[in-house]
Amino acid sequence: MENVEMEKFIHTLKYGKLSGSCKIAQLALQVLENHVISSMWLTAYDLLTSLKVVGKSMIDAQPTENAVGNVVRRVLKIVRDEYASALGKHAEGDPQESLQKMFQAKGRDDNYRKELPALKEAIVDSLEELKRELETSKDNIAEKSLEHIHSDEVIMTIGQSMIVKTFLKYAACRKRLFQVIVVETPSLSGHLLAKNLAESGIETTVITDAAVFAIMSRVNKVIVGTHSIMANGGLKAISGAHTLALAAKRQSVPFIVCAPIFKLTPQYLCHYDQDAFNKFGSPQEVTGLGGGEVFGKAQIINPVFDYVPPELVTLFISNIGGNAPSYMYRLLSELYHPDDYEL
Amino acid sequence: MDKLKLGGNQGSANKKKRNRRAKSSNFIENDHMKGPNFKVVDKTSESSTQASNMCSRVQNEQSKDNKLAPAEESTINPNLSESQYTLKHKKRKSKKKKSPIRTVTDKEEVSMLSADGDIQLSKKNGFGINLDSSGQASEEKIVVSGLEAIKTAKTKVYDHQTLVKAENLLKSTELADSLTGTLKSSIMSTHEALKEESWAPCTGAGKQQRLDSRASNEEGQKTKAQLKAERKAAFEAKRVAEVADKRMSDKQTQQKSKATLRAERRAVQEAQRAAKEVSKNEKSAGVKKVHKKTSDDPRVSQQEVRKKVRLFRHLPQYHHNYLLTRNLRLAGSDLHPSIIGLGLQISQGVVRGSNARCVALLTALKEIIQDYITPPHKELSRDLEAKIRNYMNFLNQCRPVAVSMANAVKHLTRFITKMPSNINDSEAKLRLCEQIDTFIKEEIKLAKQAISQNAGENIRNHDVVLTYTCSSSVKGALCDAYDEGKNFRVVVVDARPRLDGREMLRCLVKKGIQCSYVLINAVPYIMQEVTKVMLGAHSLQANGYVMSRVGCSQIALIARAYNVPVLVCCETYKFSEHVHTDSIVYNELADPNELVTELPPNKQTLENWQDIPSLYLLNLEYDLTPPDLVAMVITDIGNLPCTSVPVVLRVKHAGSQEV
Repeated sequence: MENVEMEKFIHTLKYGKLSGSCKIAQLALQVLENHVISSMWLTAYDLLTSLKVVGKSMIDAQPTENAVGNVVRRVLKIVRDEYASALGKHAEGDPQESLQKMFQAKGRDDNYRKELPALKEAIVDSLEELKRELETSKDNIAEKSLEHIHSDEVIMTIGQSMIVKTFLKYAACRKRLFQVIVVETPSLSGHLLAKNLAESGIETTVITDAAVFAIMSRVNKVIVGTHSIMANGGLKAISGAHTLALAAKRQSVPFIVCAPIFKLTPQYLCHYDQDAFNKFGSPQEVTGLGGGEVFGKAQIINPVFDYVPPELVTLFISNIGGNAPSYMYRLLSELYHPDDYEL
Repeated sequence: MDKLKLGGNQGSANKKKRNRRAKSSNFIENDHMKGPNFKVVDKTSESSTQASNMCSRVQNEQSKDNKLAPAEESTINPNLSESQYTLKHKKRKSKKKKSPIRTVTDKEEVSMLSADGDIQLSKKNGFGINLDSSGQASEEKIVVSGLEAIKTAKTKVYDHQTLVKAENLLKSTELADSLTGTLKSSIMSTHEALKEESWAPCTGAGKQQRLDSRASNEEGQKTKAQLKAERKAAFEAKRVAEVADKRMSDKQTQQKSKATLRAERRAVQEAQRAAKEVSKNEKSAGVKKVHKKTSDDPRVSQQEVRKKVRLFRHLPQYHHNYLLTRNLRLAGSDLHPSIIGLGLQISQGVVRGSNARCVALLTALKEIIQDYITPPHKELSRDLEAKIRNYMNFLNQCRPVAVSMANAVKHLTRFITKMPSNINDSEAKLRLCEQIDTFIKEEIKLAKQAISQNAGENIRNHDVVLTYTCSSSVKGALCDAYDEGKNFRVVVVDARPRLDGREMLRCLVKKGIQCSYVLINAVPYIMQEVTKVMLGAHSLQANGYVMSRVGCSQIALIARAYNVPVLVCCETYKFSEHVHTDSIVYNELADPNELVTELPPNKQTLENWQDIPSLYLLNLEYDLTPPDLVAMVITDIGNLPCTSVPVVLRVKHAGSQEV
């Protein structure tokens, strides 16, 4: 039964029918939870192996969709933690080798081969917690909006991000008066956000992608969502975010990223064309449906994602609090186990 | 003469007495003033109280005189025939029976008094002729009272107008020439006298009081001059009237019936009213065409762009300008048809691009100059310049004028003003057309070739050149470089909503150049493989900032982040004196609806954006690129840094001074 569900999920992932990292993450978590509950496993080691297999197949369906891989790694970390705590040891504080640990090296029991009856329940409980975290991350972040938006501000954002939408609407509900400038992207997702915000009474202006630098001098803050946060604190965001970040840096405008922590991925970017970083949309979105004789002789490029280096980002606001980009790598150790970085 | 002891009571009578008498006289007079043939002017109430206060003394005298008129008539005008006298009597009798309806025998009276509301004004003051009681007032009386009427219209608004109107009316009447002449002179003298005064226009009750107090103080001094002039004029008029009377009486023995006279009266009034309407319309239409700023029809313009983006409220908002040209007629309008055509083409986007608009404008100006005929008593240099300024105003309303167009016209008008006045029209026109041709050839066409040459030297084999939308100079440069046999790639960047880059792509692909095509959001991705960026410019400012299509500054910024050099191609005639530092203070707003039209059905979220009150759309035309992001400017006079613009401007200006 869980196989059927997994197959369905993989199918929808492959054909890009799902949109929104939150939704994808929740569905992936559901699949894994079902696997934990219903599959046959005796030791943690077995569970880890089978989870890795399932996870790998989900990741391969859509390699650029980091949320899936992140959730898989989170679950693996939970399993490891629960095993460690069930054994009586407190959760390994810092699995990465610190100098002190190296001096006091004791044999670590990380076989995970001991049979522990209470493990399943503990794991399922933790998975429920994770599920709750995924569901409430949006509202958690939105509650912090009053600390970042003052009155009479001009805020710029790009495209349509659920997180940013709830963030801004929360502040507007609490009677903070501010304006929003929305950059429409070529896919016109900015139009949806603008309409939504305007209908809630926020003064919204829609501008084209080309006018970003022209308007940036009058913007107080840039608040964007992102697809993933790279391990070095960089962003993998919607195409156009890099321009926004560059313009903001030039005009000394703070560039704030609102993202739930499950978007943090242990990947690093070495090259723009590295595997599984970027994907390309249909050329029809760029050229429209006519003009074949001209466009047929030219190369049409339509990247979906943009890399934003960490130097251009001022602040990350996530459900576990605010962080500078330089600190993001530290959070990795809290969320994932280093052995799981390469699945 | 006893009538004319106007100067007598001035100093002696005190204010209250005057006012009381004036008010009572007003009341009595006003009763008789109302009638079907006379318009009641609204403003009369205010100015009447003012005027009555100011000239109450004069009024008093006059009213007294008027009342005495019937009795004195016979004595003053002994020349009246028996028939006239009986007529008078008959009228008096008839009038007593009926309600006070005006019956006037004199055509002149009618024309003088009825067609002009301003003279009505004076009548309301209790002035003028009590025609009921008198039946037929003599010409002289008309004249005198008319003069008084003119003078008592003491608001500046009415001053000159009233006098002029009175003049015109007098011209149109059948009064004797001599009489007209004296009247004219008297009018002129009173006009001069009035000019010396400084009556503020009477617009409100508060002002009235001030004016009243002022009036009482100044009356003693100033009205003396007036009254002297009045007296002189009246005396003259009287003398001439006696002469004219003879002629009048001859005419009047024709025994016109009451009805025909009334009909005649009405016809004259209608004719004058119609003439007034026509002149008013023409005036307002002319004013509308040239000077009206944003909206001809306020009703429609409200629907157009009611929403102004906060930062850009100071700029002219976009409006559909078919409204502007809707009421224009090709024949008989102030504007040359080629200018109207050009305005329409530019506003609809048929003619696009800085160079193209400039060349189109110069061609239209050439036609205009060739059709131009210097009006009599005017100099070609001044009149033509004024006309061209009018045309530019019109074009500015169709679409804000480009810097290149403004510079070209500035150059041309400088040449026109320097034109010697001794040459004849055809020679002048020939010189001007030659000048225009030279400008187009040298500053635009040859400059383009020079730029292509310079830019070509900068393109090397295996280069990847990035360009943005469609710039004629860059297009020329790339095509020429390809023709020289260089092997390079081009990345064409495009942006919504105009998508001009497709035109550029079409030309390059036709040429056979290897091209890529991206939208502006993908530029950071593609910039890794680019070796140089080549941009066009709308104009270059004196502080080194490049004013260009919106998005260019962004591309320059990204190029700087990737260490890619940015080259800007710009002709020197586009250099301007502006020194703006941001893209907001001086820009052009295009149609915001362009952002939401021609979209596929699943993306039409903002179809009804006008209905959502907090939602605004912004469609900018231009933006400014700071000079530190630009490596080099390629011009027809060589390769320069951005900061050399003021040097070039100074040299050019010095050069044109010599010419």
